[in-house]
Amino acid sequence: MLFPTPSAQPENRPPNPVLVGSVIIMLLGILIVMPAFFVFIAVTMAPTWILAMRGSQTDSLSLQTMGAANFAGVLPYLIKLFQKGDTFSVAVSLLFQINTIVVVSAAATTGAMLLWLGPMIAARVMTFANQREAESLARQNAEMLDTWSEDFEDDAERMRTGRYQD
Amino acid sequence: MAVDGALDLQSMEPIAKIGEARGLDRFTVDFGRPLPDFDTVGALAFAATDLSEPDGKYYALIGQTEIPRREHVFEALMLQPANRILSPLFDDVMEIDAGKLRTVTVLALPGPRVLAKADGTERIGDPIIRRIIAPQLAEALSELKIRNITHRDIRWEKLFWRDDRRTQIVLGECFSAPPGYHHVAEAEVQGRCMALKAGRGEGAAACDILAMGHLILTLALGRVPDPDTGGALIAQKRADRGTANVLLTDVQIGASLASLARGMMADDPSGQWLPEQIKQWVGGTEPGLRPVNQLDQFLRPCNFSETAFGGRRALARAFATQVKAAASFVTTEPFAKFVQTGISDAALTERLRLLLGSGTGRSAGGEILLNRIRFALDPTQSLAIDQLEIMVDGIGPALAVAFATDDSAMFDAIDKGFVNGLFQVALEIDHQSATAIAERRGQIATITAYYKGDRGQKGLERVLYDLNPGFACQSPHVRDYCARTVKDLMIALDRAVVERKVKGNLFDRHVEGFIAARCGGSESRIELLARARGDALDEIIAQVRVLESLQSTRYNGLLRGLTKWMAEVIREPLQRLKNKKRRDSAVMRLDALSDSGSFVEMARGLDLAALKERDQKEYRNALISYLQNEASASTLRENVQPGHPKASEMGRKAVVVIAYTILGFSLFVNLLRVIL
Repeated sequence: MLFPTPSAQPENRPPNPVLVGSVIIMLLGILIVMPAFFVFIAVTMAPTWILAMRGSQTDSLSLQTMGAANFAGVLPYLIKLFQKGDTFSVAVSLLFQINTIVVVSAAATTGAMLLWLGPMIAARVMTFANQREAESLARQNAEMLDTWSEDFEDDAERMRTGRYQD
Repeated sequence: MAVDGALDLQSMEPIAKIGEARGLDRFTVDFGRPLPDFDTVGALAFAATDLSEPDGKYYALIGQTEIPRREHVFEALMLQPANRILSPLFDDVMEIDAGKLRTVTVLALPGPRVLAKADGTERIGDPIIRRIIAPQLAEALSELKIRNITHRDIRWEKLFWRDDRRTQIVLGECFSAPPGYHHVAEAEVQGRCMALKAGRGEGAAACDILAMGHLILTLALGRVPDPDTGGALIAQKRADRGTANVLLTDVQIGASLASLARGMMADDPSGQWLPEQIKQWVGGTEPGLRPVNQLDQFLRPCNFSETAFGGRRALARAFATQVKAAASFVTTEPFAKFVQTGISDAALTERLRLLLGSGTGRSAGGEILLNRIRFALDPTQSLAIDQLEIMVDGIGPALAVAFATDDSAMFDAIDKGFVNGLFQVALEIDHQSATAIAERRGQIATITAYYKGDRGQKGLERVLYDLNPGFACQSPHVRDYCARTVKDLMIALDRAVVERKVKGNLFDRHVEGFIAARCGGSESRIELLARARGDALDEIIAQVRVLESLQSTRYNGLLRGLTKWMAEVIREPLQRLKNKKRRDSAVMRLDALSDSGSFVEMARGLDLAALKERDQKEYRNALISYLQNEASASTLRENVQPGHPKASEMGRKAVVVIAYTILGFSLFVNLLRVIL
């Protein structure tokens, strides 16, 4: 079978503790070396932190998706902040610019959209593939009916009910 | 047909149209001239003419297929014709009526009977008996001894003048009827006189000598002495007083002739006259009675069934007539006491004590123990089973008659004889005069062993052909074709299917039994055939294998009728092959092979066993795949929901890639901007 049945157990892996730990250490490093940077990231990456704080309900892939999308929006402003001297005033000014808010929000929304759309599209793809597979199996069975004797279906029914004998 | 082994010639099938003459290579049989004087239960007699010598007088015996002829006697006389016994000159199988084959044996036609009628009106005088009959009968005995056979059909109806001057006699043929079948009970030795007519057995020279004594007495009296239709009364009298004493009582013959009759009819084989004594008597010397065993009489009578029995033979005979009562009596205290104190012969006392003390043989209703005791009392006795008596060397013909008359009592008795080991009991004794029984020791032991292991399969049919060599197969399919060998059987089966005489199973129990008995090495294939019962294709596979084996070893001619018939039989189960292509291809091959006449080719070209095995295996696998496909397809046809764990995981994996791509793109663009 191409895909497992719906009764299969869902796979919900929690975020990798090493990864989480690395991120925390990196943020602490940033806090010490570049505090403005830290503040800017802490605020603009809020959607990712919120998702991470959901703990066991969030899996690693979702967190990575949200994080990557979120960070893609934050990245231009981080570069701008870095170019303008990494000060709190620049950071705050950037935070309150409408442009920054729109871009960062749009990036985070894109992440959320991806998380919502991904399983839906995958389900559609799987359904399509399964239909093709089912048709192939039906063709195989039709060929068997052609190959074997007239009582093939009756015997199959008997086998299904455990009454078949050679 | 009548029961009790008595066959009625009148009720047998007419064998030819009256008035029609049929030719063999050398002889012509005239069915318009029956010769009833020469009829026996196993054959009907008709006049025959030698085409090369039209003046010669011959008659032809047309064998009845239901009765086995005495093959070893026939062969001995055919190989070395006897002077004093009618011997076969020519033997063949002939189609006497449409589709009916019979054995035809041509013999020289003798002169008239020595005694025309046995009604007391005509007697043969002492001088003729002394000068002609007695010496020539002694010659006949010598001729029988040389050929190691017995006659067993010595009676006044079968004693003929050979020449017109009436100086030479000849005994009738002795191979067409079961031994002793036509004897009156008094012409049989005591032990055999109450056995079933067809089961009196081959016997020994003593049987022929006693029958000659009876014949001489009949000739001298001009009638059969004291005929007793049932035989039981005289049998008990003979056991009490001795045969000669009973038959010579109140008989008006000369003292010398009485002496001859007494000598020839002595019950004790050690006291019976042999050809030498007969020749002495002919020469005018009275040899006197040979010393007989004086220990035959008991010290005191044995009381059984309110009768006192004073001798061994009398008690053994009484036990045979009341089997159940006797079986119970021999285990009682009075009989044990009698054994201790009433018997003069110490050896017999010891033997009986051992039998009673061993505790064996008490199963099967005590019949084994009873028969052992009877044989200890008189080793010449017949075996008593239920109410029937039979000699071990007469089981073959008795069984043939049981099949001919469909005698269930006889079947039961013979079945019991094998299963309970009663026949082997009869073989334990050392018969002084029964060489035929001694010769059968190994054969009966073998038959008993396989019969016990083979019950319900080939059963008594197999025994029938084992014990009657040369007996034609009695299967209804081929009974008319006189199939006496496996080759004959194959040709007969081929003809039977062409003439549509095969109704039902080709391999019935007679065909199976016949092949198993006549064809060493076919046992395993016949076993497979028996085991295949119930599954049409398996059965046919086994049948083809048997026919293939026989055709490659016993008859390599073509059997077109049989292959065509078998092809039709195979077609039906072949239609049950599950794979349509395989089925069609097999049917095409079958059509090509049906005219080949060769089962060897059929077996090679159409491996039914492999076809069936492969078909069954693949069909089962196909059914399993079909059900699995159905189940899978049914699941696959359901729509996958986004919440489906797999869809969810797959979606998340896909979007993480997209997200990283966006990130990468963003990084690339911004870095590019910084650089530029």
